[in-house]
Amino acid sequence: MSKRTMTLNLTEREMHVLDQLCAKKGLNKTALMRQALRLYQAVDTRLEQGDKLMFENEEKNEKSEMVVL
Amino acid sequence: MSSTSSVVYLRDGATGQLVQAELHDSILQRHLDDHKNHWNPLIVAQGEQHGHWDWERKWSHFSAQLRYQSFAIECNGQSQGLMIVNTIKRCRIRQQANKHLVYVEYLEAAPWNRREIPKWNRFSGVGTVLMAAAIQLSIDEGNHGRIGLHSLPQADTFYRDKCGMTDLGPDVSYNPHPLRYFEMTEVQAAAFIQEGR
Repeated sequence: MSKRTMTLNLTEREMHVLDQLCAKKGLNKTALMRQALRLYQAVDTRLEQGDKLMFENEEKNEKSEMVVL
Repeated sequence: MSSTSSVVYLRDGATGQLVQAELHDSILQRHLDDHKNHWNPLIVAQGEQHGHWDWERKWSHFSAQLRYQSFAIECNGQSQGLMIVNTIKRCRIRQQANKHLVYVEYLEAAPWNRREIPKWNRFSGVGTVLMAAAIQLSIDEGNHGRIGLHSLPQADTFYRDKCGMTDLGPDVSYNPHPLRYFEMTEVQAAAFIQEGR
């Protein structure tokens, strides 16, 4: 599939987080940003369908909703 | 939707010779038409476990979402295999837990290519080529070949023995049936590629 190139402007803090996540996940910046875009679209689609984004910790028996504006 | 294709090889079941095929990096309408018009009547007649898979409906849903990618194999002007993968799922094996992998949502070979129906054994290697495509996508995505999937019972042996994946057992959380979950590590992926499975 063909790809297109763009320049992304990030703040120092954003770049720091991007670097941290890349190191943690073993991904380069492009791969991580593509993952983020896919996840954002997936979450947005479910929210538009009326679903909620929930986090559950089975060990602590906790469940919480992540409010996405 | 457009696609790019690369050359792959299948083995002709009648002659034993390798034949050239095309691996497309997206399912196209003609592949869906082949499934509907040529595969489905045979699948329904056999009463197979995934006879209910409606690829047209599946792909109309999945193609709008970036996290899904698809592949199709063509040979002799006809679709020989289809696959949809999900690129945002994560690993379950402890040593690679929470790392990204390519998850195979659906993989299906044309009914005339299936080992369990020898009278139709036309081309072999369709499943292997599609698994190799999933591994290559995982590598391209920076996931080092890690892939995962839930297997239909008749395919358990293929994923465990032929592909060398780790069998994590029945997944009771998988709806509607607790299918077995298989995962491939970076090392297993390298072995799969190296051995040309």
